[in-house]
Amino acid sequence: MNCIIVDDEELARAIIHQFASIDTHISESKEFDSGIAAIKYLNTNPKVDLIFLDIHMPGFNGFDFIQTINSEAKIILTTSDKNFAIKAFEYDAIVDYLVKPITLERFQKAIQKAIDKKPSEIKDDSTEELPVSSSKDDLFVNVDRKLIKIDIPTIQVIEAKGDYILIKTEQKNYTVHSTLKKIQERIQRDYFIKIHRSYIINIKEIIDIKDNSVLISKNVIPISRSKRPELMQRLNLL
Amino acid sequence: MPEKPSLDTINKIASGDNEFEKRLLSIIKRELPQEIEQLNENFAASNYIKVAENVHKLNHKINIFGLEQGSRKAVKFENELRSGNIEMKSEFDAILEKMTQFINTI
Repeated sequence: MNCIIVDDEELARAIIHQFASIDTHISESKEFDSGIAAIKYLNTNPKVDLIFLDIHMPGFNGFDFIQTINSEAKIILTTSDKNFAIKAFEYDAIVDYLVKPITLERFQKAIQKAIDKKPSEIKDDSTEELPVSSSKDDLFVNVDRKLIKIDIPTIQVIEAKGDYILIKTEQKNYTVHSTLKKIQERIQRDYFIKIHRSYIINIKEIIDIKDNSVLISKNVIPISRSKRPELMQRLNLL
Repeated sequence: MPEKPSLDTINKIASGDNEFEKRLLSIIKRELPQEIEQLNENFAASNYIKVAENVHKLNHKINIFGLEQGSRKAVKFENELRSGNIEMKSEFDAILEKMTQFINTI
């Protein structure tokens, strides 16, 4: 199996890499310190069989990663948080999760689970491809050399990530080579507002606002001081 | 009795591979001060969500050194930070200080 290790902590990557080098089922392992770097690699190297994925990475967490990738690779989550187990099994691609610090014995059990899980047990949740017709609410984005249709009202959050933007919808996330400025021009709707230099949000998706952050779905989004008055003005406040 | 950092977990992970153990310790010696610095920068900027992420990341190293009580405190502090509560900062700093002193002796 070819595997990749996605973790922002070098110590965690080094441990998994060492265990992978011992395990006879794994022929190659590559390390990535961010989800974005791993996605770039997966876009050009589809033959990855297994992904060791840290759930807690700053900004772009493991679940964002799973919803973004177009890969049939099996996933083993790595986490310091035992409470993530329940959510982990909402995703079919996930075969196991390892609580850090990881031991060799537990690592090998996880590899066996990955081997035992047949490909047919993993659902194909690939996104829809270019449709015949298009409505005014459609936004087409280039992901992995495909044009993917996104229904604009379903966009919850858009986050700037260097040369990329991360578009989060109810169902799936998309990493697109673009800028917040460009997408803002394409999604001119009164329910989108830029609340931080790195974030555009859908006001209709706000769950609550506390101190200097907004909660949308499971995302805590910072509000910059300069943008706060505009946001408050746009809300239907009692 | 206050708990002390130990190398037991690292020894277990390394399974007798001395070179690997040395490499792990060298990574910790390099990463730990950087992570503490990041945490303090985010704390000074009152970015407590980022501080919570820093605490979460540091918790792996707290566990690696076998500090079980420290790890429980880290989980609690992380949750408190997500609610904007920073009261446990000095308590958490004491755990980091204990680890820093320990890595300076190895």
